[in-house]
Amino acid sequence: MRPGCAIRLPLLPHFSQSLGQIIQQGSRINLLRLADDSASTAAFMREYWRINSAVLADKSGSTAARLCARGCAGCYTREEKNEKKESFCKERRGFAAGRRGGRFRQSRMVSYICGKVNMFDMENKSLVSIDQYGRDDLIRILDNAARFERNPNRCLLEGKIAATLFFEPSTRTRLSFETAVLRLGGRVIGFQDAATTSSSKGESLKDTIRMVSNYADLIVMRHYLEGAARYASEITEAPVINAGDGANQHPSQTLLDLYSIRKTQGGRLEDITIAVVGDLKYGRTVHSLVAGMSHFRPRFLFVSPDELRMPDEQKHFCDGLGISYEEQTDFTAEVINCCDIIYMTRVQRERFTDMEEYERVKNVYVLRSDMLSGCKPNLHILHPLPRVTEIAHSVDDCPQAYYFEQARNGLFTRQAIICEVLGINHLI
Amino acid sequence: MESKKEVAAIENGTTIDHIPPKQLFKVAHLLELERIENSTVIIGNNFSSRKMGRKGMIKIDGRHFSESEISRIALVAPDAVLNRIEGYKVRHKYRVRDFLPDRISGLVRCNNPRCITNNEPMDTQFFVIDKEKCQLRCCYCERKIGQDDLIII
Repeated sequence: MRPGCAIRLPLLPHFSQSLGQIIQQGSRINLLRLADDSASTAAFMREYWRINSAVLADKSGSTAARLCARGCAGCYTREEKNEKKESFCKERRGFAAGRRGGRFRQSRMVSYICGKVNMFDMENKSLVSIDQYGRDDLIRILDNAARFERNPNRCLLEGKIAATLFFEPSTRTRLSFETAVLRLGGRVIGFQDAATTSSSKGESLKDTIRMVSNYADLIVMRHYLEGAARYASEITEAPVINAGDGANQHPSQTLLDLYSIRKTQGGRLEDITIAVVGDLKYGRTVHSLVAGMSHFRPRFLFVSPDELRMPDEQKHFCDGLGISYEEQTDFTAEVINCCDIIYMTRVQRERFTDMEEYERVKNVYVLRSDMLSGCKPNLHILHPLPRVTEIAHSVDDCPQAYYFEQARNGLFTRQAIICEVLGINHLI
Repeated sequence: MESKKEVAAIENGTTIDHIPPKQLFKVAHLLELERIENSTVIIGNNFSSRKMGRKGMIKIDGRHFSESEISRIALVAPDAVLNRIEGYKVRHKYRVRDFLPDRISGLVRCNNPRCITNNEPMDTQFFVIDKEKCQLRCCYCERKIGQDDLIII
């Protein structure tokens, strides 16, 4: 099947058979158009979850169905679906008795289905948030990154242009994305200072993105406003990679963190104890790390001052998935000696509105080399960088220090991400 | 029951009862009642109620509301009850909360000043993550908003 083409399949029961055949033939379906009864759709989406996105075009073409068009893989299990169906029927009997007919039932069911899936752009495969990737997606990207580590110079992007739009300063992320594109044989345009662009004259982000998408095949964007990457992905056909949107998401950092964890732990991601230390309140990398690791039964030790504790939202997320975690305010030898990974973070001055609070907490945890004397043999120290004072320079020479290699891994991971969003995985 | 004595009954139309008094005029505004020209509209506030102490009520003669119109008021008055009146009798009774959609577009402002929706000329988008508590999550910055913090545009 031609990559990227849309297929139309017959109605049930031939539907599942045809779809199964296509998947068995090894074709990857990016867009699936369903014209069936929506009650069975959840099961199909679940069963054939390799499908990236699906369009549910019910006969009435209701709004809810169109909303669901933006849904993606990873929806309800069969049991959850039945439960929803039951509560839906109860509700309908109670409050919507006057409304009959398939259209209403269908649209409500569809909206239940799309309630759980993360909405993201249907046409392209933009990477906006780490949540949009399931366990198998993550492993696939990490495997591809390992291939790039063995052979980073590959001409997969020949003739393609990537735009790197950095509305906020960055060193590692921008350089590694640009290096990734260049090593893949592509070319780079872009800017690293919004003050030199038309946005300083008041141009909206929408106009900037629309304009840039005329020139580039891929957009890598960092922006100081939260949600900017998702918005950009909605207004352009070109895939957008989120290289950080304010304090919200930084998915490529999470993927390189996962890659580094797997590499330092002998190829294993499951059952790892991670101490996350420092600014857990504002640190977007730690929030995304929790989400990214959630597929691999981790155990977390959250070490932070009271002012910078892990937000309830992340803790509820762990509770919901049965992920064990402990909260501590002391960065003690017991913490260091029981974990496989120490993930240090910088207290970010730019996220504070109260400078007094920043001064109070900025040097609260400092990791020194003598603190590592009783650690596990497989312990490694990660840090998203830049580091300020939280890791003493004496640690750099310890075998446990891995943060500079971690930054190097960013190159391979970003090469894999670029291939993922452009849908050229099969060429790697 | 007491309040019904104070307000005239309507033959065919819609009654919205049990509106919190503070939200009554917001509900009237969201339903764009000021645009209704040829039907009788009765807006009453601070009726005594056994359930809520004081309550507001709106009656519109000869007019029924669509699901999307009702969903607009579900955020400000989720506990209100909507009655469909036919021949002076309550034909159907709905809880407004049940019309809360899974996704809300352009009706609520995100209360995160650093959210893209507050800095670009665009519509806001929210997922309704808890219908009972009226809790929303911004589709863009992922900030959660509780019912008490809702800012209607």
